[in-house]
Amino acid sequence: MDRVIEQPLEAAFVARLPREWARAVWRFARLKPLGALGAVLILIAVVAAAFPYVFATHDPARIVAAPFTEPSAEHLLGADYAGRDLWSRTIWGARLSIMVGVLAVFAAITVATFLAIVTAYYGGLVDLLFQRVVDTMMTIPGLVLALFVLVVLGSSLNTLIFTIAIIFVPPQLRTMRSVVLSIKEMPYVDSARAIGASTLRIFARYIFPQLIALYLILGSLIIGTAIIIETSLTFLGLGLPGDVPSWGNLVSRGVRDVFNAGYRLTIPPAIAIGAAVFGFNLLGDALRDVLDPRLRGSGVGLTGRSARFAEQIQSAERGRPS
Amino acid sequence: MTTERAENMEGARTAQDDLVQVKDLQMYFPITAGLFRRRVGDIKAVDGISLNIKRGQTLAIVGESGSGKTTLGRAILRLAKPTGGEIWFDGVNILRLSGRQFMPYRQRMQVIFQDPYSSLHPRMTVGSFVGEPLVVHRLAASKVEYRRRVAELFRSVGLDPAMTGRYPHEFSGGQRQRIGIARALAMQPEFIVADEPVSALDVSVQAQILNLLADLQDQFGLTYMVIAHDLSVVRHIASRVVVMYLGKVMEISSAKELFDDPLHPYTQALMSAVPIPDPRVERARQRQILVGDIPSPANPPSGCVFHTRCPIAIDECRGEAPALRETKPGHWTACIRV
Amino acid sequence: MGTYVLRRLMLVPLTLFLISLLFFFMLRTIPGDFVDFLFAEEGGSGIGQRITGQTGSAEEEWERLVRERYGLADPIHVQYVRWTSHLATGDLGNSYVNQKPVVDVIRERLPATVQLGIMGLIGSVLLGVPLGIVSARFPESKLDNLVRVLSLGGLTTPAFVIAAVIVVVLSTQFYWVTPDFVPFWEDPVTNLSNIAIPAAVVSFTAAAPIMRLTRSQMLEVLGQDYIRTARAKGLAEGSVFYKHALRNALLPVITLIGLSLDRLIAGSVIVEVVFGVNGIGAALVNAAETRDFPVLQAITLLIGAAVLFANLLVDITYGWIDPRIRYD
Repeated sequence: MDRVIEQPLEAAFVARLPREWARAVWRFARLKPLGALGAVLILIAVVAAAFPYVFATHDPARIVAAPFTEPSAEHLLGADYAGRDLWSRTIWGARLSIMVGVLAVFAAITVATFLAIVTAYYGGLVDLLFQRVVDTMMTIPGLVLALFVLVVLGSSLNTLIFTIAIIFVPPQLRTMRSVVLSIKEMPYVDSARAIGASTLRIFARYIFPQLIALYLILGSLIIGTAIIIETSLTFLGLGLPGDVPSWGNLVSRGVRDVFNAGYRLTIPPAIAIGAAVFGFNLLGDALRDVLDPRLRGSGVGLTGRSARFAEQIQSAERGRPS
Repeated sequence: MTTERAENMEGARTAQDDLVQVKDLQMYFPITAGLFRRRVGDIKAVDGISLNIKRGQTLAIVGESGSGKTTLGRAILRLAKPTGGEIWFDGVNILRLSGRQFMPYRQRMQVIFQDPYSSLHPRMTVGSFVGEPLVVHRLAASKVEYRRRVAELFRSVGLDPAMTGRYPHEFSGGQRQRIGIARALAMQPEFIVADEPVSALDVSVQAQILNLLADLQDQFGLTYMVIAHDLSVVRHIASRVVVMYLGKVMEISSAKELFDDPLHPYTQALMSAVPIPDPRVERARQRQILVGDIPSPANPPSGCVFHTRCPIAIDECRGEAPALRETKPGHWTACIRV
Repeated sequence: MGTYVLRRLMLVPLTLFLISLLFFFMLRTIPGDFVDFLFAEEGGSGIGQRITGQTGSAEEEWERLVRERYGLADPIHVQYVRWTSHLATGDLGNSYVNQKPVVDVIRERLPATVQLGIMGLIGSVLLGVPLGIVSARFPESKLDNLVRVLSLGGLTTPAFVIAAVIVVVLSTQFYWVTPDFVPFWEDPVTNLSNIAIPAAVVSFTAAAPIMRLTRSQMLEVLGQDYIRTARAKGLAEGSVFYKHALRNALLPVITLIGLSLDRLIAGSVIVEVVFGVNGIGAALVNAAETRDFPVLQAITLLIGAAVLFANLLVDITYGWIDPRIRYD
């Protein structure tokens, strides 16, 4: 049955006509309304991130009102301790959070995919070495690892992106590697070897295209987590500098100002974080169900019961530490 | 020294009519155990197999699953690396060749897979899948010629060339198998290993594919090695048959001779599983049913590997592995009771 | 089984060694070590006098003296060997910041974190498993949808957001301030009023994946042939559900529970900071902020060891519960 649902949508990835794309998107929305909701949430966040100046009513860095001004038509969410417009700061926060999340995840999965193909295909000592390093890195919870790397590199936007990318490489490498190993055993890969296709050709035309769906699924599943980690680190004072209007900073500052402004300054950025992460998770779940039913379960890579089960869940759930 | 030269000379002489010669091929997979993953033994998937395939002939390899027949096929195509032995193709020991030297031979030998669902690239149009060998080996001088060749290949396996732009999931099992065959034919090979080419198909489609294979053989003068577990398939197309059990050859003979007079008790047991479409004969004949499963190749029985399930085994069968000997002209059997 | 456990046990020290190596060298390859950091903060001579107890040296001289005092003057590998040999005797060095032995820091901070972790774990299981079961018992019902939204909320809302909102609400509505940590056996009431709410937050975030896995496993098992057989032979639905399905569905859930340790740790780091619980997580963040390498290293190693042993335990338990799994 899975085959019936799976393949026409899979074909959308190779579909070249816009009409086929549109039809695939429409079918996806009908099949997975929650996934479509997630896509809408993401779309809102992405639009806000791309054009914050359209939606923001004020300059997020400028003092435009008295400290702790109550919400009004002029200042939709009021002003913070310095008198900056909270609505505008929340909108601009989308840009930072989405950018950090997307860039970090894109970098992490790209590196993981490349390493997975190379280590799984060649095997041997290199593979073994990578496996050990992955095991070691996965022993430390992502947030702790991130703390450590940030201490080493110092806090800035670039190091934050780099740090989050680093902590996502090992679990994604593990998932990708197991998938590459299973693709490598497929008869059509044998068939490519039988016609004398070069290793490069087998990578590029036989293995990599099979990973595209997984790439998208993993990406949308972990961007949410990346945003959680980014905001958490910033909240702890180790991510972005304190004055930057990122969601983590806004919540952190809101908590500190609780006796001056109540929960008014904390709730809006908190909702923004929740909604964005929620959106990515919904879309990721739906994409996984539709594109790759093999991965269904609580997390990616969860296919059945085996002695490897423990590791699989771990790698799946490691994608989303709190 | 002398014997070796004699063998080489024999190799040169028989190369005239033998396209493929397999000599004492061994294919072991290590079993590891314990704390340090010591190698404690081997799974002998192929254990000392020798056979010849004549040009234009169809050799069938028959055996239960786990007998090592697929591994043998993969080894001949150099998709798996044998532990020992020699494989000669048209007078050349292909195991000695480097990857680059082997490339011209890749073109001359091709494979048809068992499962038409997993053997086609799911994200490639069937046209480019069939035409890929032409690209890899630069066999088409121009785009026009490429398209003409692909269309020709589609027609030769009975498919409409208009379907080249579609994806595998749009085809039925039989059509997919035809696509796989078309790809194998693209490089105009001389020799094709067909690994259970019809066992995943509906019975009605099986006959079509087998007939297609036979037609292609006539048309292009192909040599086949067909791997099968179903004797009725073998009877349909094979000229010679090798019966394998646990990585060893039990019996080799021409197909007709084997079906008329199977000598090895294992072959007899396999034969009695084939229904005969005549109720009187069917009712009258003696059934031999094999009890138990095929033993683990990790721990094969001593002596004759078949003795644990053999209806006529005697004590001596446990002792020494019986050699393959010519029991009738052109009919070789590995059994001391025959 | 025996050799498998042994092999896994042998991997534990190897992985711990790799962790220590990785983190030790990572910390020491950064441009600007702790001494640079100090000098940048306070300036040369003042800090030099405070730390070495001497007076009247030049700026570079101070830097050299202070570096020697902290053992940072030697080559990296010498530092590493010294650190590990001290580690073998149970000495984790002294904190750079307040010169306290790191062992004491950990001893002081561990009880709160362990209690938080245990309560969080128990809470997450008590919350996650029953809700997952109920959700699968009545799939697509209102209750099921509520549970699913709740679990998605737990997955998608960062722990610090929940914690922050709770702190904000508690302090503005109830003027509540977290009391300091007191061991449970000394004063249970104060202890619980310190730990209970943070533990609830940790439980909630850790419960979400348990809930989801329980539900999806139950539904998967209920689709199996042997469940249809059980139904076909006329067993009561309750018996089919709780006797036949539940047992099989819970196996992976148990694994997940064992593996949620890193989630618990990540959660408690945040929660400790927000609620001001004086635990390991807060110490870790503090050490990261002040570049207190000995504390940072020791805590990372401790966490690594805890996660490793939890994984090992899960693997062993899993093989023991599910007789189909053979390790060799």
